[in-house]
Amino acid sequence: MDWIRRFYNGTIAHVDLTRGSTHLSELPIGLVAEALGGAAVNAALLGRYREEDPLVLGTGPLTGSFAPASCLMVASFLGQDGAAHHVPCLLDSGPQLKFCGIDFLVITGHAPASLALHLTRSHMTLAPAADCDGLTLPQVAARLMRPGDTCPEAFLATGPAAISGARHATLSTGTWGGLDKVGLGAAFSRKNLKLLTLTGSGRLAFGEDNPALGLETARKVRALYGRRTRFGELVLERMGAPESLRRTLHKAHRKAYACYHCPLPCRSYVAPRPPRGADGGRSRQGLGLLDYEGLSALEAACGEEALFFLGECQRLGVDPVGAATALRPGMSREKARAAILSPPETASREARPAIFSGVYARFGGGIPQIMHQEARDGLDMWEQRVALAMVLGVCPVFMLCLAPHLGHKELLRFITTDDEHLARLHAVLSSQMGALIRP
Amino acid sequence: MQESVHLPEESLGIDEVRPLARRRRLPRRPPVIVFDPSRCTGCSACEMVCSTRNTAAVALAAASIKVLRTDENAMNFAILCLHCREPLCMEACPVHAIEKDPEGIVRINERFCVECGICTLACPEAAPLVEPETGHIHKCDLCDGDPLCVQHCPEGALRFVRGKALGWIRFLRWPVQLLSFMLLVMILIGTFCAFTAGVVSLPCPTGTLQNIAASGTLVWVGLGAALVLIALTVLLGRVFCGWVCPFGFVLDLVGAVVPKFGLPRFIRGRMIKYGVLAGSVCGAAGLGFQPFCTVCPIGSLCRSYGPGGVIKGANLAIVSALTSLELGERRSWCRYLCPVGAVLALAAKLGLIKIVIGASKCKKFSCMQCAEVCPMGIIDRDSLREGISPRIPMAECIMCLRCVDRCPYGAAKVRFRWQKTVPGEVTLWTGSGDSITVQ
Repeated sequence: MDWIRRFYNGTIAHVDLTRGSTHLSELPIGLVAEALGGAAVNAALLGRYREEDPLVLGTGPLTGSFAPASCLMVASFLGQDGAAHHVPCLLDSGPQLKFCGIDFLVITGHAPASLALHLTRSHMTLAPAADCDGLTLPQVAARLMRPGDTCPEAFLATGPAAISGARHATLSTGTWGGLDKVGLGAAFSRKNLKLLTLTGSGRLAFGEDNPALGLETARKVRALYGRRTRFGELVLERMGAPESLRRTLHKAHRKAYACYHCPLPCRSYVAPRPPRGADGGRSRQGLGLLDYEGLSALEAACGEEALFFLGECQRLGVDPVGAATALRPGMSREKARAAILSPPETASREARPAIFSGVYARFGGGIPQIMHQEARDGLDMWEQRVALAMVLGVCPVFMLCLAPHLGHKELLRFITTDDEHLARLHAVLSSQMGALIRP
Repeated sequence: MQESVHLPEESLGIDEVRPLARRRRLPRRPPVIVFDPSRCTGCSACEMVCSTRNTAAVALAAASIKVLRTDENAMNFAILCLHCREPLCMEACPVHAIEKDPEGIVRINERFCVECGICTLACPEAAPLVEPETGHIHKCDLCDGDPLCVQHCPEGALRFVRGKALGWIRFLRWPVQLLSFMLLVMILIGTFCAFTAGVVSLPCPTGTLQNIAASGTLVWVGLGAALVLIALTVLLGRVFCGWVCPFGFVLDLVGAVVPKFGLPRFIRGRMIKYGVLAGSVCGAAGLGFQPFCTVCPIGSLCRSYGPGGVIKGANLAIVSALTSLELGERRSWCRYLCPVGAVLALAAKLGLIKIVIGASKCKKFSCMQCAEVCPMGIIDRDSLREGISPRIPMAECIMCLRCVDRCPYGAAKVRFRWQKTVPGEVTLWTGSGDSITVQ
């Protein structure tokens, strides 16, 4: 499978936080041939470094390519029960990691003090990040965007909630929050890794016919929806969220955003009205919305103020599902802040009967629980669609909610159009998806 | 002691080796990519496909277009070449490697470019982009007339336009002006004047005011008739000045052919006309007759063609004398001195319609054609140079619609007063709770 090299830089980066050392090694082509990429390779790397408390950030073969929604980076770590969890990181994080010249990043050990890891095409730098401790995520973003400094293209960071190493702390992609509901943020804080910045200026060839194929696929997918479709509301609708929540989102909607090369922008920038009882509500503060499961949980807990409290969770880097257990309608901003920083119990959203709850938590616990009857080619189970996305490096939200007609055959065509290669890819993909679902 | 270096006289500079190409007559419909920030979702499809064309690989840093995404507010911005009419990069390039082809496309000649980066500093948009890895300069060449970024943009945020079809309004305005001239000067002689009123009477509002002041009595019929013009101005702006005024027609004709030498500073005050108006009315009250009407160029013109084809030399002399102001600036009389215009300007301040220049479509400093054609000189060139779409003071606008007619990008539009002031203007709520307005 040498032809798959075009989709990777061929590099694994290793960061040992205990020693403060970094080095690069060659990505074994055999590993990619056996596991393809994404969560499957991450799982193999987790096994290899099991003794060193590993945290692996990995990309799939399609990450950064012309395949639709090719934005995915998978963050994998070992939970307290020793099982691997694979959390999807969206926006531009996956492509930026690849354009830094790194396909997989293995972080081991524990830093003695707060550290930031800065990745560029030519440098991998560990720097003290004590000045970011206690800062909210917008403040971290503002610090990174200071005039005169080189602004990173993407960053992953934990908020003030992560300082205590609480399980409900999440890893936020930019200031948009994340789909982490299983303690990835806590894993970062356990390692004293506060911040990861990515500034990729490299290049990858991918397939020669990919631009034309990408355009054709994107147009096909986009043609399913009208010009004025609001995909955030569509995700909520398909999740079965109550009408009132959709109406709230509709009112607060300001602009739609898309992750890397996604033709269906489901991220919403909203300006929610502050709750009546909240102090300091002199203006409507903007909020980027990515975590629809978290929003649903908050809506169930505190009604029409869900958007406001989601904003608070995102600022502090807290899992909204966990925070929902502590929030009540009409809470003042201070009380809400205190409550979501110390929820009475950790909580994860219950999986629907159609989804095996173990698998749901294994994939981060934040991917919307949506299943479409019209999904085809045998990949019609939630677990299978997500596993497919997590191996190939495509957004699972896109695969589940917005492009249910897009099957593995369409995606594999981006890697090769040779029938023999396709058959082999299909076999590898099937076995890896099975291994992810039933390890 | 410093030694001076003696340069041989016969040494050749770059100006001699590669002289700048002589300015050509630009195409009437210059090609350009128009970016609509309200539609951009920040998916990077444009950057991906552009970099693929530039480097045969996906490398966002090697694209000729750069999308700036902001997490904190709902706006994206694209940096791309506007193919200016007079490109600053071309002037600044020390080796004359930047050329403008007959199609109006500004290109970098790779053979001569030394990658010094001066063009990026000279360009107000910073559109020539430097690839950090190689130092190579990438600049949009519109893909030789079929831009890939436009094809791949899923939301239609990028549009390739070759200007809009120009000029139908002028083909309407000139006949209307000619017809009005013939009607008021040669057929309904003296209709538009306070001195004589025939069967059809449309008394000049300034003359009416002077009449009232001179006679000390309020003539309701005359005042009512004068208010017709005021009402027309409230409804449609100063269309009388732009489309009907016979003296304005003469000024337009003369102004189109005579050279311009500028006016002394003391005349160039737009408040002077209000002083003339006040002086005329006060003078009329003191003198007992209409002093301004004796020298009014509009009235003089309307009275110059007497019954039986008699030309009245005295009236024509006044018209000629004031027409000579066209040697200073276009429509100098209307801009600074005309008291009729002053009355209408006061009415236009209450007008129901306005002209707006849309921020998202306006090419600002790279175009400035609206400022070039505006006969009243009210489109602020400094704003355009600073990249801000100017606001049009409707009191000064004569509604000639030359700007609407000329704008190649359809940015200048007629709007109702209560519609959004500048299309594309957005009020944002910052993280600190303050609101800011951006274009």
